[in-house]
Amino acid sequence: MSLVLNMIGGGGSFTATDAILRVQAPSGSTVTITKGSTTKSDFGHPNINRPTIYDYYFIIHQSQFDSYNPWTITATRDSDTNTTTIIINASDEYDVSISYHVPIDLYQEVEFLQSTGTQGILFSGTYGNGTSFELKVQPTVRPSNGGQFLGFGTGSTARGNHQFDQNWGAYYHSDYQVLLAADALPTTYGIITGTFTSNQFITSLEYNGITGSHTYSYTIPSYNGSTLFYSRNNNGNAERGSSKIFYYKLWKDNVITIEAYPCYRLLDSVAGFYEKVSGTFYINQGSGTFTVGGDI
Amino acid sequence: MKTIYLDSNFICHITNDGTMVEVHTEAFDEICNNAIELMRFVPQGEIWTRPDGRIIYGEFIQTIDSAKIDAYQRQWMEDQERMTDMQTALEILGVTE
Repeated sequence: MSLVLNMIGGGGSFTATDAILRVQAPSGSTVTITKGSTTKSDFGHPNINRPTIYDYYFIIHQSQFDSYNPWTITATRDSDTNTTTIIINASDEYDVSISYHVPIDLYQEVEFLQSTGTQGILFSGTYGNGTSFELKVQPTVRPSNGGQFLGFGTGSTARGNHQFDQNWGAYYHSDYQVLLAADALPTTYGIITGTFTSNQFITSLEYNGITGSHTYSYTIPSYNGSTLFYSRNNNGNAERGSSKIFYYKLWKDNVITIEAYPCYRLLDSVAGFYEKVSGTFYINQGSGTFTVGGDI
Repeated sequence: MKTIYLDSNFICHITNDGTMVEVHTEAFDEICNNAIELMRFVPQGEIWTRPDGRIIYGEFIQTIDSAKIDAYQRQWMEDQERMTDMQTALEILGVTE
């Protein structure tokens, strides 16, 4: 117990009738608990078994026990924030985990997933007018080696496909446009955004402080599925590329429907994307093994 | 298919110091030697118990220093391209081995 007492944030002395609340959150977070006008905060300490997770300890005095009104727990880190609640009404130990991108008790978030030209992730659903997206990606082979990292449309119908390739290029049917002149292996990531609206597709790439964009005008079909690390060409064949993907977000009519972060499952170390809107873990649907970036 | 050597922490090496396990894999076919030595590879069917107690199940591949790996890979690809250009030039000049 002395170890715990040394870590307690928010002040106050501990007695046997108090409760202890332990909050686990990603490293670098600030955790605050509030109930009514009472607020306590802590910067946390590294979990002894898991360096990327921090423990935050709080004393709840007996006079603060409440069977009806929960404590609100808020974790913040940079631009990320998340909250949860807990009822504390007895002198006991309470454990709560709180995370931003992936449930930390089931998954380990990593910096990126990297493909080598054989892997792929498929998000089901239909997309078209009213869809917008954002992808953080870094191709890892030279443009001349080809390959795709994002696609819309998974069927064999020629005009159903839209794809993005290692040349920072966007492609629809016979219309191909390089968003940014980059005749070399990228030295860092780029962020690609796109919006399908009113039968226009507007896409842009921000890379290393430079922005390129392109607008396509056509009757936008209903795309069946969206793919990472590959796309389907006009013949319906998968064209796979080598790239790192850091996250993928997609909105339908301004409502986020895909928010996917790279991670591996703690149960079996299988790498994939955790999609937090639906709580679904998407694994490789190609062959080979993803390389994962460092734990975060 | 490349031959690599794994130390007790499943970190990849290009040469065996006599204590390492030899592994043949296609996972690093397009990865240069300097970059391979900055990666961890747990083969299929193997497990690695990390110092913090977490068990990692193979096949599992993780970068240890992705920034350095990127730099090594860029240099290697540029070298490969220069080599290809030189071979093309020699062929045009009719120089054969």
